[in-house]
Formats: sequence, C-alpha cells, structure tokens
Amino acid sequence: MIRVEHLTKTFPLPGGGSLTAVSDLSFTVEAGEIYGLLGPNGAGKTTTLRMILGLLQPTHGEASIAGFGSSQFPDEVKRRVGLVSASAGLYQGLSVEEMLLFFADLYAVPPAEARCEMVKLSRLLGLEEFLGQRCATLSTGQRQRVNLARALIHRPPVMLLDEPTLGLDVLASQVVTEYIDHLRDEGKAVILTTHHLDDAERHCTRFGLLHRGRLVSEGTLAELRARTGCVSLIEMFLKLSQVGPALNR
Amino acid sequence: MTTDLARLGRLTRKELSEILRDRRTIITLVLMPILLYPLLSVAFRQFFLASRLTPGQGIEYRLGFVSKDELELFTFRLLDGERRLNARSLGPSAKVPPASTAAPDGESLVSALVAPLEELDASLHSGRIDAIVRLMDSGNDKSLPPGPEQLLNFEIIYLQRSAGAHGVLTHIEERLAAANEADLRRRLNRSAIGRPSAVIRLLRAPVAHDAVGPMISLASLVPLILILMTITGAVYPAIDLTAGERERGTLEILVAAPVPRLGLLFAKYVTVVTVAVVTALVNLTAMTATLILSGLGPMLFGSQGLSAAVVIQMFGLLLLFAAFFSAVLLCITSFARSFKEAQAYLIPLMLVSLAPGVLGMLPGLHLSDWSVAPLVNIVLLGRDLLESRANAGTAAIVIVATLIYAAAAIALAARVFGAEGVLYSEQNTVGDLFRRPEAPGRCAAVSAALWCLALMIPLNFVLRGTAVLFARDGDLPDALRLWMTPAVSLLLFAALPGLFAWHGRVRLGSGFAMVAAPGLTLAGAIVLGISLWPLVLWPMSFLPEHALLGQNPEYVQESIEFVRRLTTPQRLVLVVVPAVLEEWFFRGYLYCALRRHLGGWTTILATGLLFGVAHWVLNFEFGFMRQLPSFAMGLALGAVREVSGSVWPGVLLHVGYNASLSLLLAQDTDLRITVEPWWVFAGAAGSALGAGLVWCGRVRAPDRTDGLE
Repeated sequence: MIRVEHLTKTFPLPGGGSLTAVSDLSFTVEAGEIYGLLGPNGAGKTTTLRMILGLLQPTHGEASIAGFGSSQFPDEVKRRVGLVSASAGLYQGLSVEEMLLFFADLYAVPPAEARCEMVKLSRLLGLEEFLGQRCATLSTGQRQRVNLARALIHRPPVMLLDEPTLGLDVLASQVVTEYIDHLRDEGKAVILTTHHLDDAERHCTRFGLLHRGRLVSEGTLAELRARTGCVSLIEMFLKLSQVGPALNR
Repeated sequence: MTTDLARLGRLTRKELSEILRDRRTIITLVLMPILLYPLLSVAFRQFFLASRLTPGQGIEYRLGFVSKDELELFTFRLLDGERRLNARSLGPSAKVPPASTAAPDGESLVSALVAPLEELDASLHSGRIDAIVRLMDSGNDKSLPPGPEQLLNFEIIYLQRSAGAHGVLTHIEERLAAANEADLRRRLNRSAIGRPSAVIRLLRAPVAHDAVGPMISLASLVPLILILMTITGAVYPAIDLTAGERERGTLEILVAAPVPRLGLLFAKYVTVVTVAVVTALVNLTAMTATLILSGLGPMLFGSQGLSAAVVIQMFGLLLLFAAFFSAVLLCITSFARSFKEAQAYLIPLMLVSLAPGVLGMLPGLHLSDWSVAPLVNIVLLGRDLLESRANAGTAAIVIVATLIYAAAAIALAARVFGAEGVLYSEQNTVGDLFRRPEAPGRCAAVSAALWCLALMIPLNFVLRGTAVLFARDGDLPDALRLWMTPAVSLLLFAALPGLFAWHGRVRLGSGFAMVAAPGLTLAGAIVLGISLWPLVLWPMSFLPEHALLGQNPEYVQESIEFVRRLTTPQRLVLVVVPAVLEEWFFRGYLYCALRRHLGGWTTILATGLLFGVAHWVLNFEFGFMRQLPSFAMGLALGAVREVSGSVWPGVLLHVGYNASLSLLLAQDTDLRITVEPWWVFAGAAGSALGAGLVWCGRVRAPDRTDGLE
C-alpha cells in the first residue's frame, strides 16, 4: 500500500550549504499493518511523512500510495491519506460539526455520507456531546480526538500519524492509541511516529529505526531484538542515539 | 467544473464565516467607522472655523471690491442685516441698534480688499479672497447713481468648489435677506419711521477652476481616509487566513487535502476582498451620513455636495482598490510564518502606501500624469470623482493598470502560498522569493511574466517623465524624441524581460521562441505584414475624428506631425526597433510562459489582449480607440506564433506592418490614413496569400520550444 524507495530530502541552508534531512530511505507498509517510524528528534520522521503525502518534494527517490507517485499524482495520494500530527490545529471559529463536514467536503465526500461518517466517528471517539461546540473551547485531548476524526472523515485507506499522543494525558492518550488498534483491524495501512515507545511496542507490527535521516534498522520487534541484542525499544532507542549507525554491526 | 466551483464557493463561505465570527473583524468593520467619521467631521469643522477666525473678532470672510463706493454701499446693507439678525436672536422685544459700519466684538466680519478686477481675479484664484463682489447695474433707473430707494444688482464671483466661498455665500445671503425683509416690512408699514435704503439683489457667478490653490485639497483627503479604512479592514483577514493559519497549524492540514493550492488561495483572496469591500461600504455609508448630517458635504465638495452617483462611483473605486490591495496583502502575508511576522512585514507596507496617498493630496497634481502610478492614481481618481471632474478615458487607464498590478500580485502570492519553503522552512527570508532557481528552465513562470508586464507600466512612466526633463519650452527636441521611443522600447521589452529571464534561468532559445522557422512561413509573414494594414485600419475610417484624437488631441496631432517631419530612414528606425522588441517580449517571453499552462487559442487571445492593453496603457495619450488596431494585430501575431512555433515570423510581420504604416502616414495629410476600397480588396487577397503560406509552412508540434535545450 505504501512504498518508499530511496527517498532523500536535502534542504538548502541560508548562506550556502545544505542539510540532508532524509537519506536514501526505503520501506513498505501493507494494508492492516502499523509501521512504527521511530527515532530521536531531528531523525527525519516528519519530513518522511510529508514527502509520502506530497507536501514536500523529494530531492531524490519516490514515495507512492496504492501505486500513485506522490510527486506525479499528489491529489490521488492526498485522497487516500489521513494525516494526524501533533502540530495540526483546528479552526477556532468553527464548531466541531462544521469542521468535520468542511473537511469531508474538501475530500469530496457526499454530504449524506459525510454526516453518517461524522456520527459514527463521534460515537467511537466520544465526540457526540462536543459536536455543536466551537473548537476554541475544547481541551487538548478533545482537540486531538477531533483531529483524528477530521483525518478519518473521508475513510482513507492510509493513515499517517505524526506523534498523535504528544502532549496528551494518560486518558486522552488511551483513547487515541485504542483507536490506532481499531484502524489496523479495519485494514488500514498506518505509519506511526511517536516518542511513547511502550505504546509503539504494543501497537506496531513492524518498526523502522531512523537516525540522522538514515534507516538504521527495520523489522518486527523480535527481529530487532535479535539484531540489536536489546530487549526493549527504549534500550534500542538509547543505543541508537548514542552509537547510531553502529547498531547494525 | 461546476462541482469544483461549488466547492470553491463553500471554501470561501467557510473562510468568511470564520473571519466574520471574530470580534476583531467586527470592531474594524463596524465600530471604527461609527466612531471615526463623527470625530473627523468635528475636526473638519474646526479646520474650517480656524481658517476663518481672527483673534478676538470671530469668523472673517474676505471679499474683493472694485471701488470704495461699492464697498461702502454693500457693507452698509450687510451690516444692517447683521444687526437685524442679532436683534432677532435676542427676542421679539429687542431693539435694532442704529446703523454703523463697525461690527461689535464677537460678530462675524467681512474684510475687504479694493483693487482692479484683474488683481481681484488673481487673488480669488490664489485663495487670498473668498469672493469678488461688484455692482452690475441699478434695477431701477440706470442713469441715476446708486443710492437710497434703489434696487441694485450685485454680482458675487466665487470659485465653484471653494469651501470658503460656500461659507461666505451663506453668510452674505442670510444678512442681505434679513436687511431686505426689514425693508419690505418698513415699506408695508408706512407708519414706521426710518430712512429708505437701497435693496440689493445678489447674483451668483460661480467660476470653474482647474488650478488648485496653495492649500492641500481636502476633497482628496476623503478618498485617502476611505482607502486607509479599506486597508484596515483587509489587513486582519489577510494575516489571519495565511500567517495565522500557519501559526495555528491548520494550513498544513488544508494543503494536505486534494484541493489545488490556487483554489485555496482564491478562496482566501475572495474572503479578504469581501471583508475589505464590506469595510469600504460601511465606511462609505458612515462617511456619507456624517457629511449629510453635519452639512460638511457642500463645504468639501462645492454647492452640489455629495450626490448618489458620486457615492456609487466611489464604491466602485474602493472595490477596485480592495481587489488590488488584497492581492498585495496576501502576497506578503503568505510569506510570513506567524501573525507577528506578518505584522512586521505590513507596517512598512502601510507606510509605503501612505506616501503615495499623501502625495495624491498635494495641489497641482493631475490624474492624467499619474494614471499608472499605483495608489496615487486611485487617490487622484477619487478626488476627481468627488469633485465631479473625472475623465472616463483616464479612469479606464487607472482601472486597467490597477487590475494588471493586482494580477501580478496574485501571481506572486500563488507562487508563495503553501510553498514548501514557506510552509516548513524556519530559515527562509524575503530574499528567498528572489532566489534564482538552481536548474535552468525552458520557459518563464507565469508570475514572472506578469510581473515583468506590470513593472513595464511604472518604468515607462518614469522613463517618459525623465525625458520630459530635457524638454525645451514644454516640447521635446525632435532628435530626443526620435531616439526616445526605441530607447524606451529597448529597456521595456528587451532589457526588462532579459533581466527576468536571467534571474529565472530561462533558456533564451526556448524561453523566447528563438528557433528557426521554415522559409515558407517567413515569406508568408512578410506578405501578411505588408497586406494586413488595410484590413486593420479600414474599420477605423468609420470612427469619428474626436474618437481618434483621444483625450489629448494636441499631443496626438503633434505626434503625427513629428512622424511626418522625419526622413524615411528615421521613420523606419522609429517603428522597426519597437516592432522587433515587442515581439521578443509578447510572442517570445510572455507567450512561452502562458502557453505552458493554456491552450493555443486561449494563449493567442490572452497575449493579443495584453498586447492591446499594453499599447493603450503605455501610450494612453492616444486614447482607447486609436489602439484598437493593436488588439487585432495582437491576435494575428499570436496566431502566426502558434502556427510557426517561432518568434521570427511575428517579427517580420510586425516590422512589415509598422513600416507600411509609417510610410503611408508620411504620404497622407489627414489625421488618419485614408483606406481606399480597392486597398481593402488587395489587402484581403494579400493577407489570404500570406496566411496560406504561413499555414503551409506550419510546424506540427504544438510548441516547438518543447524539446529545446
């Protein structure tokens, strides 16, 4: 479903020079899989997701969704993807209902279907009582649930979740992570980036460990344990941060 | 298509509903106008009063008389009316004080200047006096000297749009009416005791004036205020919908949706324009109501005050301004990462905008000289509309020039809005907008081509203005005029696009369609060039002469005479160089940029229209009708460019056409070239042959520059 091949992104720096945020990255994610893209800050996780969605043009390589290249067919890719990120905001002046229906309209979902999907999602994510409320009045946890509903309103087969539980309390976090399991059950292909490694261990089926833009290790938890000699993702993460590319040796 | 438009409409509606729910919008939209205009009316009134006050004496009006006798006769009657008015204000039992030429403290005064009529006239136009009063004749016996028991006709000469004149008219008429009424009562009541006196009938003689006095025009302050308020209305939505969205994190999810960025930008543009227009409407309404209720209208705009037609025209002008300035605002705010940063960018813009606005208030500025200067032209057009002296042709130039600027700003905004460098880079600067691309390109970007076209207008204005500095007694020497046209063309149509092409790393071969054309096509273009002119000029022979003379007939006639004075080689230089350079830009640079995104017919139409509009705007003294052939030629040249895929056949066609015209113009003595019927038939036959040759030599590929490196 998601195919990433030799993806590279280089940003020019003011005054000359350049910064390679992602370097020669390749992996695939199939339907019904939750792929944990993990790494320290600045590893290139968000840049990778943005390139997959076609928001950033890769310097080299290509990403595709269901066979549609992100650079050549950005609209086809966008139609198939739901994006949730920690930095995504809401329209403060709109009510939750207006916001969800507005995004359904942007994705060309027929109004009747959009309303039906909104009711379903608000029930699943516990948003029913907030539907008429302005987004400006919602708490952080409620906002993130609205964001999740917003990303799902057009029933995308692919979900890109960029630190969806960042800044949430335990309860709010729980609702989001439970829903991630639900997405896998629905057969969606999901890429999840998170710093909550224990959550990632529980929910992800495969992992890609990024360091300084390079994929230093990839596989299931068992494969990673065997390869690194570490028991948990936290250990692997710490080792990765310290030794970096030496992990594979 | 319909679905896309409907979705665009819903997108705009959403943007509007969010903006209009914000209390900051409501404050700018409603509260500010309600508070501002009454306060301004107080300030204006104070200004008028202050300009007429003398310390300790009250309001002073300044009148001019041609003789001391007339002054005494008139002021005697005036002061009589003054005393009666004062007595009336004290109540019915109050007694009228005896006649005196000295006014008591605090009363209104009329100061007088006695001088010959010519001197008074000069004083009137320079603003030293408010009106001239002179005795026309005696209404009774013309042989008798003016005196008691006479009906005297006095003429009051004043400047039609002078605020001071309006005040003095009211002042004098009130007093004369009071004196005349008392006189009538005395005549009806024969028992009353009193000496009979002369009855004065005042005849108004308004004088129109073009020259503006030494004062700043208050009429131009009104459009400036309206424009500033419209800017205020547009600033907040422009920031909120771009930098604000980026700051709140909604811009990313918006561009992650499968909606074209241009569509998103368009919805935001429509929203900003709508809020700006609503702000303009509310301000215009508040201003009109204030002017009517405060009685300031006639003081500012002359006796006719502010008519409904002028208010509607002003609204149209604000609509145009909103379309232009919203594009500029979006262009700048799209680049900002946060609200704060956008505000920091906009403060200099506001100051820069204020300067031409204030410049537009200065006396002696004529719209015809500034019709393409951004913002100044709108302020001056506003002033002329309010003073009911706007010229339709010049107004059309202002509208077209402003729309071109708006299109260029929108094109730049489309390039910036949602671009990855702006969305995600924390290190980008304004300089990034002007950064050269890393790889060479086949064609120019549409935004670059439109900017190039938009910059030609002010550059042409500056170049021609500079040339005028060398004028002797208002006329340019022939030698300078001869070289000015090719030199200006070189800078506008060659140097400027060349600079843009260099900056955009556009390849000369593909970006300017400088590819070889088949011999048959070149031959066809030459035949077309020398055959097309009768067909293009023939419809012009049906136009009345005044339509061809435009708004500056002397200039048009003088220009034609100038061309006739030249030798044949000089005339050819004058027309051949611009023809070659115009093709370099219009069928080269601009055509390539547009053809990348548009179909063949649409590009021909678009470049043809822009070619015609550019001729009209850059040579606006010639008027609209005289530039009509340029529209037709633009279409023909575009068609040849499309068929041949090269710029060279167009160059030959254009040179042939211009050379034919210049040679014919030298033969003819009339304002227009006389087109005989048989020329039309010959031209049609030649054009058919030329078109046939061009068609036979056509190139199959839609654009031959496609694969050119």
